[in-house]
Amino acid sequence: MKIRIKGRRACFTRPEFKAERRSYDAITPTAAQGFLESIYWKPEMEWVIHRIIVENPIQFMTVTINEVERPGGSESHSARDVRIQRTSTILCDVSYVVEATIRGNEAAKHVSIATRRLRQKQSFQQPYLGCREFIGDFELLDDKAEIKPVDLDRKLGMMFRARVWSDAKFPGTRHSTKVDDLLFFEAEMTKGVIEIPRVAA
Amino acid sequence: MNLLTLVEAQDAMIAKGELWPVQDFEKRRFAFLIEIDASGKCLGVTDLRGAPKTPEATGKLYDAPIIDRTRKPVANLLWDNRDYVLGIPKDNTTKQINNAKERFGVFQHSVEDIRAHVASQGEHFFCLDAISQFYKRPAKLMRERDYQIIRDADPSLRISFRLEGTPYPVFLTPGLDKYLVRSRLYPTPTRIGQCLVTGETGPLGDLHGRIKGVVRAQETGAYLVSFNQKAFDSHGIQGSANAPMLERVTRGYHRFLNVLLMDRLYHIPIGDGNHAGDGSILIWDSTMNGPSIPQVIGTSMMEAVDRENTVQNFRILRDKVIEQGMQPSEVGGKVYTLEMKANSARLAVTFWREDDATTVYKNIVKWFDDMHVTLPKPPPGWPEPMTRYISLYDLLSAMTALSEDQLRLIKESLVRSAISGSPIAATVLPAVLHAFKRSNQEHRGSFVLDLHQYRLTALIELILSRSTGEQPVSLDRTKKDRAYNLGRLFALYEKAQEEAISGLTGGIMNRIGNAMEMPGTEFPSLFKLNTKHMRELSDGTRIWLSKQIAEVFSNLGDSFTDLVYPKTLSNPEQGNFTLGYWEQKTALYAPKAKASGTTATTTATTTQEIEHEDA
Repeated sequence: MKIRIKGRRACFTRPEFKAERRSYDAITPTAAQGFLESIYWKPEMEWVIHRIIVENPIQFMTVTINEVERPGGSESHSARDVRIQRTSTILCDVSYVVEATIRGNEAAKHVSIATRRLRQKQSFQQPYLGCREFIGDFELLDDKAEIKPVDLDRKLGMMFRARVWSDAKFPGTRHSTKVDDLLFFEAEMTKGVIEIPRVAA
Repeated sequence: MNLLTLVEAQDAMIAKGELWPVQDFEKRRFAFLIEIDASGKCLGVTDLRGAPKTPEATGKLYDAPIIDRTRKPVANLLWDNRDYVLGIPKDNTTKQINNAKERFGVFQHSVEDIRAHVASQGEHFFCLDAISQFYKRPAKLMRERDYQIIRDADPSLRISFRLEGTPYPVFLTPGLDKYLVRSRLYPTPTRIGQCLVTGETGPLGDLHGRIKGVVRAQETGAYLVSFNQKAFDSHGIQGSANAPMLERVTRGYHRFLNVLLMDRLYHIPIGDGNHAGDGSILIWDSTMNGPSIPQVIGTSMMEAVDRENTVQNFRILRDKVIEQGMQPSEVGGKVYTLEMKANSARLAVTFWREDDATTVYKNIVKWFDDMHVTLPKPPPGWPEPMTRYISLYDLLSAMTALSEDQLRLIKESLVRSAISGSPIAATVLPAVLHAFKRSNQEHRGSFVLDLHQYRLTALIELILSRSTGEQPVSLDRTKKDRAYNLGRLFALYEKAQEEAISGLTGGIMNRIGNAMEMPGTEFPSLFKLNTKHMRELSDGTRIWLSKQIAEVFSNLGDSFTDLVYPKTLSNPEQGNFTLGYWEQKTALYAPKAKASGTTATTTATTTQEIEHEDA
């Protein structure tokens, strides 16, 4: 399936620049996976991202906003007491075409449901581009749709690929709460196309 | 931004011998070296401090092993401040005296730890024995006059030891440096994993190096990569495990940045450190050989701290790089621009660009082409020749009416625009116009006023060129733009008043702000004033000025009766007003043969040559 994902702002946060956020130059496979999971997901299936095509030039902007220094969680606290200012460098006017398939039991059934939901613009929650503030739009592309990748060759460095989940109760599934390891891959954009390597099951 | 770029740059500096090959070594200034012989006897203290108010005032630069003092007291390795090395307190308060005693003990303990570690590796260094003996001497460690030299100096100055007969501090003893790495001296369990910067698998580091010298960052340094809040933990992964990196990376990239931040050729400070938003811009290239594009950019934008070198280096820029026309084939590699701003103990990357050097060179040439306006004519004996290559420092110094905050924003925007060739931020034009309107408050009647107006006009030309398109580089007598012609008209009215009333240093000039903002209100009264001034002029001058005024009116409308002045002018129109005013003003003083009224809209020859080469 080819899905066009676009939005006015996006922030695919680099792990090393988590504190003062800085985005990767393009959408990460996990962010694309999360976007699609907002549209359709079941525990027995998994979205697999094969390729990301960057359609718009890569542009950054910097914003400095007041945030809280820790999440709410079970204890309540006043935002005034935990307010900090953080600078974020985010992407502007992004448009990607994500080539993805569904893997799992009864994959054909899930593909059919996902296709219907994509066409009808249905989603479980508002899909977003990295951070919840940056909502994204999507459309399912057919084979004849025109895709214009940006004419750009760039080495994007090591990009986050996947978390390796591990949990005694639910090993290898999204119900796990413990991450054993983080996987990265050498991302390279050639004529606007980023090939995504597979992660062994 | 990719940390790999910084790591590779650090590796390149090590390969060239500009950075110490052992991790954790960084450049620091040392003020005193205690000379000792092999038995530990003190032979004297060498004072390495240079002239006051120079970078050398705090001592000589050496590569020294650095530890992060996240908690005190922790001693540096074979060097430190006077309270650690000699037990001399910072002041005579009880607290500092007690601190000094404790730190003195910690430093001596650290020396013994190093000796033991080296011995456990089967090696031996005489300098370590000498330092150990120094501290075991029964009598006073040094002569009273040596103590006094250090007591009289700043307590934050650094002190180390030098063994008799060697030219270097002890920590640079060949072979000893590899032991002066804190993580090896006091090893902690390390994880093995994949590095998200290099992709290699190996021992991962926990603690990142501090970056020192960013404007407004804390003096002890700030972190580019930091996980100092619980909010940054994720899925059970805590702290730096969220971003696994090899130890050579975590202890490496900051060394490169620290070297650049110490050098004003690479470091453009934004602001004075007293305002939110102040930061630092670093520009370097992949070759790191000078004089290169980034040095050329950096020196053309230096602060007035070193005005002599600024002017000299800027002339090198103009003569060698631009006017002699460096060919694209000679400009190789990549140019990197990094802007960082401090936020308490962290640094945020607010701007990052990686460009081909050829592109940056073209952008710099276009930068100067876009600000090309007619040069003012200096009075006889003026020390500096007029040049169309105006440095950023000179542009900013013409805007004395603006606040520090505004100047910081303008400087940041101009540097970014110069490197990237992008339009200048929309907020800059109103600020520059305000500075132009207020420029006549100072230096009235002197050439300095003309100089400031010239620089501001050049900047306005640059801003308009980048937003609305190419602008004329000299007086365009056929241009119909109403704001441009109103500017010309104002200059002609001003000239008429100047000719009619000699010795006047104010007058119509004081009304330029209102004329730019509300021409509908000002120009009718200026017209009436002008008719009175014209009566006072000689016939020749009156006819000459009348012809020029008539030319402007013909551009504005069909006749005097049809002319309707606009009520207000927008900011871009006020910019055109300024251009018209300046070009007309300089044309009035130009020799008649040159004031031919032809318009030069072509860009500079060097740019054309480059474009021809690319075709």
